[in-house]
Amino acid sequence: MINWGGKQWRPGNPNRRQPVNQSVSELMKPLGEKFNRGNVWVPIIMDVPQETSVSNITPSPTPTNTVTPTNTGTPTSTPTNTGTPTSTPTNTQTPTNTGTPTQTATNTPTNTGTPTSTPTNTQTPTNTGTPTQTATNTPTNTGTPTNTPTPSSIASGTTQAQAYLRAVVDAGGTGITSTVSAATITLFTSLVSNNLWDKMSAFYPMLGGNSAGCKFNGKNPVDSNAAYRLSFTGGWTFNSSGATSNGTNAYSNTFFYPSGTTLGNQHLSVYLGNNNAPSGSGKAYIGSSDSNGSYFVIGQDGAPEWFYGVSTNGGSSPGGTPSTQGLLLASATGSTSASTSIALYRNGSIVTNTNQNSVVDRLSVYLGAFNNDGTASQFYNNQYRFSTLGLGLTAAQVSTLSTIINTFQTSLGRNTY
Amino acid sequence: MKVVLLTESEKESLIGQLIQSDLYFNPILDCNDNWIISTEEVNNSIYVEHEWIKSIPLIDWCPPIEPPFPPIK
Repeated sequence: MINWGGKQWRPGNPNRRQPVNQSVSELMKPLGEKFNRGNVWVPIIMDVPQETSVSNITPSPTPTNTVTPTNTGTPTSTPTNTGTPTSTPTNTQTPTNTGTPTQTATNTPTNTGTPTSTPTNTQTPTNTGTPTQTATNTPTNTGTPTNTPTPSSIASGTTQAQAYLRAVVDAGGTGITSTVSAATITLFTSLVSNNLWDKMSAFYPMLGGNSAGCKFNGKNPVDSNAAYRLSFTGGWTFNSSGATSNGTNAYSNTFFYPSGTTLGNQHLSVYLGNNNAPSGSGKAYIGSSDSNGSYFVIGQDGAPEWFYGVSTNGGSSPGGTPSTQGLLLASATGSTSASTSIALYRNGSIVTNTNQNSVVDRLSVYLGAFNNDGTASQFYNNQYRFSTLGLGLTAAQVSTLSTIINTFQTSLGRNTY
Repeated sequence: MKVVLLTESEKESLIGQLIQSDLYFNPILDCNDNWIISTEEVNNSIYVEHEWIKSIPLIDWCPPIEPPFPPIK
């Protein structure tokens, strides 16, 4: 039994007894106010914990900010450029070419100002490298090649003209002025708008003033045999008027095979700068002939008299002294029957028209001579200013083509009519 | 007209060689079965390894007898 000081009940504690004289409002005061004479903040202020160094604190975990701000405002700042650019580039580079020049410039500046620079091209490359043969001069025809189709169905011709001009310049061609560019674009767009573009397998505007520029086919300006790029051989000279053959050993392979187009529906042409019809053994201005007796050619016999054929057996000598200056064009239209109408035109007007037997010509066409069953023969001297190869043309189409080509030549100052 | 006379070995060394970009030599036989190239080819040649053709003596051009054209009528 718990003993509570000899009593069996827990005694009261007189020291804990509440004073009876305190009012209710006094009893409601906080205990701290009563113990600290009315200042309740003393135990709080005096109980500030000692400052702890933060250098040893390593936050853990590392907070990750995942707030993604969303900009819903609409900026209204409108900068105003009041400066006037006055950059005037000065080209002082004098290149020294010690290898085989390969021009691959692709810089196409966009000039929005009024350029006053007058560049003077004085580059004279001196080649010390070893040229590499990339073509075979004497083709061996072992089959019946098929001409590769070239792009057709274009919008206007402007893009194609620019691609051609770019190819000429990139290859090292010169003299492509704004006048030449404008004339070339007009040439291409005129061919398209007069429905003659798709009649062309190849046409050669002869621009660039050198072999590298003159070689390109305007229809497909790619440096390959399949694109009918010209391969010049022998004594050619070049200038802004075209390519001149020497009549001794110069010729150019077009790699265009008449057998690759529709028999009885073909044409070929040359635009020559001079009247030159020498007597003697006969000359070929353009063409080919294989061992089966077919001719795809414009030329003359030794009398001299016209001689021409468009994939025909034996060709035709209609008589008349050739007048070679200007556009000479031979065309076959109609059918592949035994009697196909073959016409010869000069400057858009018909010279003669004969019926000839159509046969397959399996050899590529040469300029400056003719491909005589694989050998260049009947070399001819003249200045070649244009040439075309393709499908047959009607008299009206020949007239239109003659006007288009001569307009181009007139713009370049090298027309003959 | 003058042309450049070549020996057989000189002719062989020029076949398939570039005169300049996209232009090739074309040695041919003259009327006396001499191998020749034209003066245009010499004047257009830009590669130093072909400089020797510029020191070869010239001869008069004698055209070979060409076959009649057209051979078939």
